[in-house]
Amino acid sequence: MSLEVKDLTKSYGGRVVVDHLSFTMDRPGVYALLGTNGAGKTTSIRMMLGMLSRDGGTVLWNGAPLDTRRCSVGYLAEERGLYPKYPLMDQLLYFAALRGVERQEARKRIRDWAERLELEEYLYPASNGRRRAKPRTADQLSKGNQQKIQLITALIANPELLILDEPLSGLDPVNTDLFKGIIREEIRQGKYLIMSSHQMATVEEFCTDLTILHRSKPVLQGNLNAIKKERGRVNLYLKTEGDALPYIQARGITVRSRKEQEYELRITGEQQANGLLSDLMAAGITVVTFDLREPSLHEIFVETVGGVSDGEV
Amino acid sequence: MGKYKASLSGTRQVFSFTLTQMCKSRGNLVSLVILLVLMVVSMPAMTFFQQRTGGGEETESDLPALVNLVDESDLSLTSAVKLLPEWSGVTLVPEEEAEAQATVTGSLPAYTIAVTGSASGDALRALEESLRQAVENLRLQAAGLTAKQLAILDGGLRIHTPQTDDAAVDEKPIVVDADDDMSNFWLQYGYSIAVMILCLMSASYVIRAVIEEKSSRLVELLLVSVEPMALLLGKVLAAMVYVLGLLAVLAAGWGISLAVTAAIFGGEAVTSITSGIAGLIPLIQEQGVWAVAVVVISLTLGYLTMSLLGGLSGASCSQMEEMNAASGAVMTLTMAGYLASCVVSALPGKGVALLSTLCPVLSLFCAPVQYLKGAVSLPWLLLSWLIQLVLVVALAWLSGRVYARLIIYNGKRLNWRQILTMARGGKEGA
Repeated sequence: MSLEVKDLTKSYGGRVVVDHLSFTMDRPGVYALLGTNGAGKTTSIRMMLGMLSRDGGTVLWNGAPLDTRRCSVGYLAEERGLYPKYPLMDQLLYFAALRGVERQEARKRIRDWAERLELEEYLYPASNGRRRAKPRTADQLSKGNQQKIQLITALIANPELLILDEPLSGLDPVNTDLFKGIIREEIRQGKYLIMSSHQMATVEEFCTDLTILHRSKPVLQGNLNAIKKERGRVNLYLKTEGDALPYIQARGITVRSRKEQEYELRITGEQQANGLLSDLMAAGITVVTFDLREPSLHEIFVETVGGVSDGEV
Repeated sequence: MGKYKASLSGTRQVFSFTLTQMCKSRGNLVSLVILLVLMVVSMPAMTFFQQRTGGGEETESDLPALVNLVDESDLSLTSAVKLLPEWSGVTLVPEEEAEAQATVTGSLPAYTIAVTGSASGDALRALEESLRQAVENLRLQAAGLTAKQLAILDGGLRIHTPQTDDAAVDEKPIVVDADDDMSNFWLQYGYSIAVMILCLMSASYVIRAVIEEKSSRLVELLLVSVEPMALLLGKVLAAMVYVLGLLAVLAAGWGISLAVTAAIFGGEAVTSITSGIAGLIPLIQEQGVWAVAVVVISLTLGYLTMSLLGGLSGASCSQMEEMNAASGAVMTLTMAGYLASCVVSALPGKGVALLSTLCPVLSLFCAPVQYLKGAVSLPWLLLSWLIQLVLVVALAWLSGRVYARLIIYNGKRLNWRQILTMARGGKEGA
């Protein structure tokens, strides 16, 4: 299986909002679509799913044009919603029917997901004595629980391709871990995931490949490890038992943050780091931590877009 | 063809879900129960209050005891009235002994009844009404017409009251006008009301469903599985089935109401209530299932026209607060059609009948009535349906196009000009 996006382009009234976006996913895993607000991520996803017409470009799934009505695709939209006044179970069965899941099988899957996401009390409310329990509606749920229901709608058909637009926004730490566990499981099952998020740490945790969009254009693309390797080990985390600052300054190293004798430094390369370590050893300063790291995705992102959001342009 | 078929895939699921939720809605259930109770209770209650206030049928005691009846018409009125039950306490006497003098003049098709006398105003009015009914019955018998013609003549009555001098307030000559077709008027009026209710209710349901879906921001989830056209069509059909079902339930409620009225007050009370729609019965007897089919096909076309327009209008909105504004166009068109149809029913002439049968919107209200009353022939009705069908297809195309472009649009409500620009392939709303 593979997903191939070629030259996806879109304009509104002469303003280009997606400019020749291309990428390929030829193995299961997570592909991250990143960008500042208004960079064109959601528009790209909508075009890929056929909700918006394209000015140009193609989206191929296994070599054929992606048709979401026929292919097994799950989608968790950024703008999330449910029918506020309709019973939750009816809504889930409706989405399952639209995805072609038989009613009996849908009920079984909903039961499994309800247990997994701790939604039983909302989907199977206990009857009060002789009175039949009143079905719960979406407006009776917290935002986090609504998000869980929406995740079920995306996963109910057990899709091969899963598109998650800001999947973890608005979740508390407990539910964030729950969602992360599900994402990990989908990856283990060999699914293809496209994830768009502003939470760089989360994306970094899952993604193998990425595209960063800036002002409608893809400005950085490729394998995350390769991108990091290319940038080298430029972050040094240093903890000493003496004042190391004069030696750091003497080497012309940028101090990004300092808390007592703990330093977060930006170096030009391994040679500079080794030089600093030699100076400290020679000065008899005990080094507790000397951790040389590649730049984080957050740093790569900020560096790539130049610290300017599209919304601010 | 395959493309169009694909664009409709999922319609069944949308239809089924929308209809289920409409039926489950507490608001809809409460409205239905209230309407049903009102429908069932209304006729027995109306009959009860009519009888208590004496507003019902005239009785024997309402007529003056001594009447001088002058029959100068071509009807055998004197012998006929003696057979009427309410005349059993009335004695026919010479002019000088009478409490009331009733003179009937004229010949087919028009008669004049003049009633004067010393009896009370109520008694004179009762006598006048009784004579009017007797003249009417004799006239119909003399005509020897078909059931349909009899029904039409039955409605053709107009009361004219010339005031000759200030004292003669009780002199009310009655002119029976055979050309005045009240049956047709009531037929048109009743049908127009049914179309109006159907169009307004269903368009309102469709607009609500479309905006609700848009404002709840779940269209993106739906669009992964189903095309915009199927989403719209599923709602339109669900609302149609729901509203037609509602009308059927209300009709059943009306039947129950009649049965209850008959059980409590007797069959005559029911006959008096149903006399207003008596004109329909001969039509249905004559045309049979075809009359029902004509009405159902016409109602369906009318419904589809207005609900698609409603869907189109609803697609331009993003929030429930905009629902009233979205309903405006449908309401205006429906009301215009309804009022025009009422005017048309009072205008004679073949040209008017043809115009009202073929003119879009107006034809929703008039075409089946014009056909059933014989004003236009079957080819004209079929042409009318064809025009309406073309309109429905055009609206479906337009709605599908606009709905697809606006479905993920979230912002200020678009006006009709912007909507049409969009339909022509202008800027995309999302």
